[in-house]
Amino acid sequence: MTATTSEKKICVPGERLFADGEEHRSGKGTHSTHGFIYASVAGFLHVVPSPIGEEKASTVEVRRFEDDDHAVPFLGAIVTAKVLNIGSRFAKCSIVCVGNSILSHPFNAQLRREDIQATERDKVEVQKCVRPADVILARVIGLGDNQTSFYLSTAEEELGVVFGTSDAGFKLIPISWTHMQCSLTGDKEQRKVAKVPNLNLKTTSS
Amino acid sequence: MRLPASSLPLSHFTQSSSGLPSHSDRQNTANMRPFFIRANVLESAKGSAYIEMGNTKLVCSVDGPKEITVSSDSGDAYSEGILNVRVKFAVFSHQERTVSDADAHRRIGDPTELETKLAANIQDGLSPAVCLDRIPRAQIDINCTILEDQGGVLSAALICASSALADAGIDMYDLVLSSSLAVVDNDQMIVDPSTTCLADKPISGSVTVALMPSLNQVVTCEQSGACSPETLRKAIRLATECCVKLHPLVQKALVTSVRLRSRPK
Repeated sequence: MTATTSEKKICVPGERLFADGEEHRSGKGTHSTHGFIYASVAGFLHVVPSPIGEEKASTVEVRRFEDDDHAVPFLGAIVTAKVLNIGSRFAKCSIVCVGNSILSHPFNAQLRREDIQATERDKVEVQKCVRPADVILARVIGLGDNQTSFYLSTAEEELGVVFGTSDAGFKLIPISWTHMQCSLTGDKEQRKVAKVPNLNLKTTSS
Repeated sequence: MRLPASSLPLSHFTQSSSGLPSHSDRQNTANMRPFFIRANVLESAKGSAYIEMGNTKLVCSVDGPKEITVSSDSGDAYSEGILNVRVKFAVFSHQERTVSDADAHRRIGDPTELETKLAANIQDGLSPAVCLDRIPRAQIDINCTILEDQGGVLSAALICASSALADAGIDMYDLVLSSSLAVVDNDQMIVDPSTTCLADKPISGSVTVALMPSLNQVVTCEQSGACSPETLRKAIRLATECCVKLHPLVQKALVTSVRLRSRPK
């Protein structure tokens, strides 16, 4: 039953696993109803012991396979998005990753002018911050309504353009918070540049 | 090519009834038709399942979650995901080929009235079983193709679609199991009837029940025709028993599909 054996127990949705309480807690791939933990996906049962303390409950998870994640954008998620086109009031984006997982289908989103920067929101011009085909890191701040899609925000230091192409068609290299330089011609272009902490570390979705 | 409004294959007149179980065997017992289910039958789909209940055969495929493409009937801001069900009867699915007046005027590819109704029933039956609150602003497509219709299509489609959803790894509260029965005039019941078995019976109504077995919640209860409350109560209890009988078979099919998927290719 524990994660040590190679032949793990396979669960199907609706399978009752444990009593929800002191010893076990419902984790990913499970749901808790009427005081019991049930599996909610078809996959392998994992009982993850809590890292700190003996009396804390271990987490029950049902996992499928590593490359088979059904992530969808959610409120507060850090997402990777591609800028599709820009207007005077917002930039239309396409979300391709949520945290570390790649989406099987892209989701449309809007980066509104007032959500691009934390300071001087009313002076922001969209075309000076993002350009079509840029790859941005952003946070989901709203689910939108019937007409519009997800709302994104880059009003944080770590968020903004991480990859861009210059007018000449070459890679842009960040040189400051507001500018990027073409790797071939040396032309400076304005962007809302993301401060990526360290590319060798995995970004953590909070 | 102009086709006649209705036609019958020659086999309809020459069919012998010797191979079929006699009608008396099936009354008031839990004698169900042979049941077969397999998940993960289509390589190209994210999740799929194939089901046979007697001669009723259908295949379901699932895709998603993805961006919403259909307009939702509820006016709220998509706080929950939605299911988009499409049902298609194969042209060879019925023994009797009929073209109704409404169908004659529709464009090729448009769903018929029956397909639309069935799709709505499947959507209503599966929505409570899927954790839609975990996928806001997303849509799950369920495509259901009926290869052969010999009765009990709704129950077969519900089981098949829920297995396909589980096979696709969609978060679900529980599987959905379903079964149908026919009420004959003298309050006798025929469990899991096929159309051939009902052909010469005085049928007064039919009941289809779908439930989530672990949570013991009924998600669909469809009744047609007239029957007394007492008969209906009995019918629902009997149908529930039949649903529970299928549970280990569906579970086994899903366990097999998980094992197959996890095996390195």
